[in-house]
Amino acid sequence: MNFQPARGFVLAASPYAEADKIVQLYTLQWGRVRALVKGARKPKSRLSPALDLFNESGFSLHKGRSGDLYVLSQAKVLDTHPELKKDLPAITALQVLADILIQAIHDAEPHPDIYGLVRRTLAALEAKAGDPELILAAFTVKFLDLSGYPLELDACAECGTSLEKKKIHLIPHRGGALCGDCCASGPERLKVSPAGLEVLKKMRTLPMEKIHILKLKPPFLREIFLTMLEYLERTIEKRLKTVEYYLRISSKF
Amino acid sequence: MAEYPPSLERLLHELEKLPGVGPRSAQRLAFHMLKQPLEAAKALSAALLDARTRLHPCRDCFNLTEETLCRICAQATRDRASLLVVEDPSDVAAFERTREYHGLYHVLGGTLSPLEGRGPQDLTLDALVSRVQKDGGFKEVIVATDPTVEGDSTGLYIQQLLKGMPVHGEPGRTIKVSRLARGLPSGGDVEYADETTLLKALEGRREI
Repeated sequence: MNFQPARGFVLAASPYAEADKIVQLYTLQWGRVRALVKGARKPKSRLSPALDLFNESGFSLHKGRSGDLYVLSQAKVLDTHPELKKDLPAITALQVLADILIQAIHDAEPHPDIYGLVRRTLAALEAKAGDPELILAAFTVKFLDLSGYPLELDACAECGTSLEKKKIHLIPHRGGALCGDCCASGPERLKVSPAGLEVLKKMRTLPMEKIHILKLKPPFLREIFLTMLEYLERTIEKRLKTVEYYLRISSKF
Repeated sequence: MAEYPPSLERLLHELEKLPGVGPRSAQRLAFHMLKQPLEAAKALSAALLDARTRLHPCRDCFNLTEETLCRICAQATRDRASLLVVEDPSDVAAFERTREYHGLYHVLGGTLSPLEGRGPQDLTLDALVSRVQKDGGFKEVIVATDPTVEGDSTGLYIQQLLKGMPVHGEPGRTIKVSRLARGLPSGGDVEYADETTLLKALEGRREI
């Protein structure tokens, strides 16, 4: 059997058959893959500690008999990010991040830049380098850039004129920010203020470890965060399952 | 065109709906059943129908029962100061097999799992809060969900819901919310344990 080493994060795990699990992994070498883990639900399984959300491990995988499903036979845990799993808001932010990766990445193709971005995002969340909403919004801007959907933020994506002192809207599938003349109406418009546009530009250029220097008031940050998630949803044409839950948890606790 | 006669196709189709049963397993199960005497098939279908029609959630704890209250909630000898919160009815059976826990149970019906679209409204959390409030006799609520991120977040959610709730008849005392210990399994080998398990085992150590 041809075993292949891979380094990756666990995005989700669900029970399968009597004592097994099927996990979704985001790997450095092969992008997003699904793998069967035999016996992972048994208390004495040596693989189960590697299968918690966003645990980063070195895996040994081989192609299974059916389609695109791999079989995971060994795992060496590299980082469990324990600080990220101590409180409910932090866990919920992790679940939103996992949801973005599951919904937006379909192919089993390596994206080392995105893998690196995920690592830096986890490090920022773990270091509490800013509000989780700030870190997730910055992740979304950078993720869109690396995924081939960069937002035009410096000038109108259609007519190229300056966006200064103009009404601005973000429109997925039309390149990013558009001036009021180019998008007079339409349900796909996401309104963004000039201050919001400046924040998005800074989120793009600032490295993740310095994103905390952006100090935004909570309602403004929430607006930016939700706008970016909606932009992403419309770009990938899929709903994120975790956003409603995130809002419910963050309002309750 | 269908490979098998319509009745067999229908059986395979129904079996494939079961969790963890794919086309091959469905085929294996179906052919096994067809080799059995007709009485065995009748007994299986009768048992399935009987269980499905008779069983329903217990009024208080949501364990499966044929009566209004399950066998455990109806037992007068149970310790009514302790409430163990589990994911599924099968977890109740697992704890009962220990013969060491004598308190009551509450079955959540799963864990909070937003990635699978399961939120607080899909679990029996409201019923848990109202049970703890109304009953008033509980001194400790033990969260016994799986040691996963979903299990932990469900535990943290319950902790927040029950935070500061008073123990009736004991002014100033609030209900203790605890989580099952995590660490080495019985018969396990320390040498082969991973760092997370060892760390949890160290955190949860106790005096001997």
